[in-house]
Amino acid sequence: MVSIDRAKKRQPSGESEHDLICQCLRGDSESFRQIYQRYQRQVRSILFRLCGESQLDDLTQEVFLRAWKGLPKMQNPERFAAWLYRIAWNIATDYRRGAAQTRSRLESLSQQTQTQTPAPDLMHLHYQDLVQRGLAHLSFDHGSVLILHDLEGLSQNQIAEILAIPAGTVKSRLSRSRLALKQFLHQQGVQL
Amino acid sequence: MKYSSERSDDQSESTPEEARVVEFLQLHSPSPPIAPPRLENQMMAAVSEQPQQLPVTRIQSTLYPLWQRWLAYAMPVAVMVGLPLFWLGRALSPQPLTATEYVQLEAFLETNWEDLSTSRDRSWISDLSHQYD
Repeated sequence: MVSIDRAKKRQPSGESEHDLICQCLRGDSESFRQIYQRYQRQVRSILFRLCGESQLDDLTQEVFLRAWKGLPKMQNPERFAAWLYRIAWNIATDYRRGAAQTRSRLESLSQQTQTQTPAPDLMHLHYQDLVQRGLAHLSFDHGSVLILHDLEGLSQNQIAEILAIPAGTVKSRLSRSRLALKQFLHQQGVQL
Repeated sequence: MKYSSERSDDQSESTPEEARVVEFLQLHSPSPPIAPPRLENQMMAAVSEQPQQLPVTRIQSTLYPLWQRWLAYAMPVAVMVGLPLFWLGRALSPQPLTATEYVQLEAFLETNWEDLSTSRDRSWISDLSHQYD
C-alpha cells in the first residue's frame, strides 16, 4: 500500500522520490521508469476498480503519459502521489463518461444472468461479481470515495486532496456509499 | 507514521454495521490483473516520443522554495538598477584633484596674486572705495 506522504523518503533500492522527480524534469526518462514501477500497481488497481478490466492497460499507460507530460506543471512535487492519483481519477472519469451507455447495457445483462445461488466453491466468485456490480451501482463520485478509502487504503484527508473536495464531503460520501452498498448486497441476498 | 494514524482515525469513526460492509468489500473485491511486462516498455517508448512541454529552467523553479525563487529574480533587478545609479552618483559628485591639477591650480593662484600685488595700477582699489563713499 502506498502512502501519499512518502515523497521525501529514500527507498532502500533506489533514489528518493524527490530526486527522481527532479531528474524527470531534466528529461531523464529512466527516472520516470522507476516512478512508474513504484506507482503502477496502485494506479492500475484504482483504474481497475473504477473502470473495469477491458481498457486497463491503455488507461494505465495514459495516466503515466499524462503525468510525464504534465510534470513541469506540477505545483508541489512533495504531493506527487496525490497529483498522480488525481490524474488517474480524471482519466477514469473521462472513460466512465464515454463508456456510460455500454456499462448500463452490461449491467442489465449481468443482472439478468444472476438468478440462482451458485455452488459453494463458486461462492467467492459470486461475491466478487456482487462487489463489482455493487460498486458500479453507486454513483461515480460516491464509488470513487469508497474505492479510494476502503479498498486502496487512502485516508479521508488524502482523498479530499485528490478529488479537490472538503474532507466533510468525503466523510458523508463514504458513509452513504457504504449504506448504499449494504442495501444492494441485501437485495442480492447477502446478509451482513 | 502519519498515514497509519490517519487511517486508524478514519476506521475508528465507522459504525460496526459499516465495518461489516467494508470487511465484505475487502474480502471479495477482485484484484486487478497483473500488468503484462510489455506494458512498461510500451509506456517508456511512448514517453520517449513525447517530450515534456515546458523548458527545464521554468520547470526547475517549482522545485525550490519561494525565497530562493524570489532571490533569483531580485538579484538581477538589483544589479540592473544599482549599476546606473552608482555611475550617475559618481558622475555628479565632485572629483578629487589629481596631483598635477593641484600643482597647476596652486601655480595659477600664485601668479594671479603676484600680478595683483606688484601692479602699479591701483585704480581698482579706488573704484572699490568710491562704491562705499
